[in-house]
Amino acid sequence: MNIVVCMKAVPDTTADKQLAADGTLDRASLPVIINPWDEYAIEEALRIRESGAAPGEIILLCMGPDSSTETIRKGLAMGADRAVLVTDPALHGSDYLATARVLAEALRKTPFDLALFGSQSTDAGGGVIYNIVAELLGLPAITWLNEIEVVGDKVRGKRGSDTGYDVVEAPLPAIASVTQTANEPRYPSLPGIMKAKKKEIVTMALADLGINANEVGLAGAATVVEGSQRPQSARARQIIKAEDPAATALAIADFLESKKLI
Amino acid sequence: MATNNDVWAVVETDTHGKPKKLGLELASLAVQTAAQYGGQAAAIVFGPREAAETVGQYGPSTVYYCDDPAYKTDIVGPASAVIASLIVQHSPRLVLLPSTSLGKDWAGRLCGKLGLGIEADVIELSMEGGKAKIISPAFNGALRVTSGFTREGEQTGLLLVRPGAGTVRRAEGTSANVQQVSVPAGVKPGQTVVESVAAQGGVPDLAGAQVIVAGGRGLGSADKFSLATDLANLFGGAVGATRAVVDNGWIPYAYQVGQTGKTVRPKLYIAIGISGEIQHKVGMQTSGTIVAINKDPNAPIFQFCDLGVVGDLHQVVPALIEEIKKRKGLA
Ligand SMILES: Cc1cc2nc3c(=O)[nH]c(=O)nc-3n(C[C@H](O)[C@H](O)[C@H](O)COP(=O)(O)OP(=O)(O)OC[C@H]3O[C@@H](n4cnc5c(N)ncnc54)[C@H](O)[C@@H]3O)c2cc1C
Ligand SMILES: Nc1ncnc2c1ncn2[C@@H]1O[C@H](COP(=O)(O)O)[C@@H](O)[C@H]1O
Repeated sequence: MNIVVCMKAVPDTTADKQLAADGTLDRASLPVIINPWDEYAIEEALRIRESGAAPGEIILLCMGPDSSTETIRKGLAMGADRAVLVTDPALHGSDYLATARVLAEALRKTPFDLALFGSQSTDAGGGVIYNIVAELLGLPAITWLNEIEVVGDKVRGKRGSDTGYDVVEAPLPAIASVTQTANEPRYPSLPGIMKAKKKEIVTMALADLGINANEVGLAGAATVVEGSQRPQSARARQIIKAEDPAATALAIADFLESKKLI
Repeated sequence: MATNNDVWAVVETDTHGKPKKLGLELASLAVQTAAQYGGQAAAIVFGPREAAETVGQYGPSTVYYCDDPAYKTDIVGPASAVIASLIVQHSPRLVLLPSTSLGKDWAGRLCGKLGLGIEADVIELSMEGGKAKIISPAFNGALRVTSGFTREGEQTGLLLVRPGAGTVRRAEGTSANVQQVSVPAGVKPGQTVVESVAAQGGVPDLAGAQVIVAGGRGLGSADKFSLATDLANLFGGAVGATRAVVDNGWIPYAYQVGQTGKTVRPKLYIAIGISGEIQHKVGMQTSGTIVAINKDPNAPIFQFCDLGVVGDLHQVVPALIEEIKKRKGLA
């Protein structure tokens, strides 16, 4: 029973201070990490295998530039067995549908029982990819899970609801996405890092997937970015020092009243 | 296939069968945007007829509703099939969906079925020069991105709209045509719920809350989280928390605000004992007024608050609770 984990390489979220003066994001200058939510997906895949419920391979699938390789190695060092990187210059600027088509075609070529996703990517991700993939492959998808397990030939998980949580379930093969789960992603061990260097990363291009270049990338995108700005920080940032609690409470309450918030 | 100029809103209902506040915001935003296009607004409500009638009071000319229990057992398959078949029949220009986990699930399925473009995390929508002008935050709010649909007018555009983008506005003297719709036959399983479990004390409606009092590690212990709860109760608001707090088990994960938790936009956000790390900031930075109480004058939260109070929360918050009680005539 094989598990494929779809992982994206994203700019490090803590590095947002490196915006250029004109407000654009200089991606090249930013360190790249595994999308934090996808790290949880990798962790859960490893745990599912360790539980004995899914003996088999764990394969990472990533669409992105060549530079994603370094990030993929980290996932391999955590314990995944091998990886597939779909990379092609024509993919630059792909929208959700194009990304999902690429992942779906790559999944068709990689026999799997469970395809695990993070629930959202941190670089302007929409949290929509896995349902598009599921629809393209005609599979059920259980999503936004904060617990996941494989029981026999089913995948089951808990998803937050308005009143508590729902237990959701799907027969395998299926798609699933996880949020932050209770299991912190493991740090790669030193032997893990050494082994990862020898693990296989297969690279595929669009032609390998039978997708036309004009259907993806900026050319095929259904949405277009027209501009971007740095939001001006309009906040007053009025700072008071609390000397006497009662006086401070008065000042806060006055402030709230002045804003009609009490 | 060309679209018309209509703008639609998809509305979720709560466990009591009432339209959710975000749904009403979307309906009002659809009415406003449709007027700019010179088209009609419609809503699709998943819930009972009464919910559809309520939504009708906000101005859409048509309200479709589906109360087939199938959409509750399989929360994604039937609902997305209903929306897809209505889109195919009527070709609206834009469809606004709630930017919630379920809204995103539906949007993904619709995109896969019909090949439509999705704009996610929409915080502002208007029509400019005959086209949708859409604003959304990117890279943790470090940028505000303006974007649009490349094939607008040729195919329906889907928008995932965040709380606060629309303002709930009742319409005077309009009446909506309320129509029941059923789930198409032969829907493939999407996401099946086998059991629903109620959490003790329920789950917070962080998206709908006008006031959120969020507690951080600075509270010191699970017991002291009551400071946040007491303050929130005085405002009729909800409590939120940082990851440090939920990781410590002081309060369930459902209360976490931030990158891996909820994105919120209340009128007032009071952060107590929260440092304001970027992963927390991204979940609350578009709140109306932000008040922070922290003993460290260099805490990052002071960089993006309206009022910052440097001091010991264990002294300031109890005093604040007393002061607000006084002003509300409760003490
Ligand atoms: C991948 C990833 C995802 C994450 N996602 C999230 C997320 O969704 N949400 C989130 O919140 N975090 C998230 N984090 C964690 C985030 O980076 C911070 O660690 C976390 O927000 C810190 O929580 P805190 O402010 O409660 O704790 P701390 O950073 O420890 O801050 C506690 C603050 O309390 C103040 N304090 C202490 N005692 C007092 C007192 N007596 N009176 C007044 N002030 C006091 C201190 O000065 C300090 O500033 C994520 C991290 C990672 C790596
Ligand atoms: N380029 C990509 N390569 C591999 N997986 C991806 C890619 N983009 C998105 N994903 C997966 O889809 C999930 C949701 O992404 P998104 O819809 O962009 O928020 C992520 O957490 C990943 O698991």
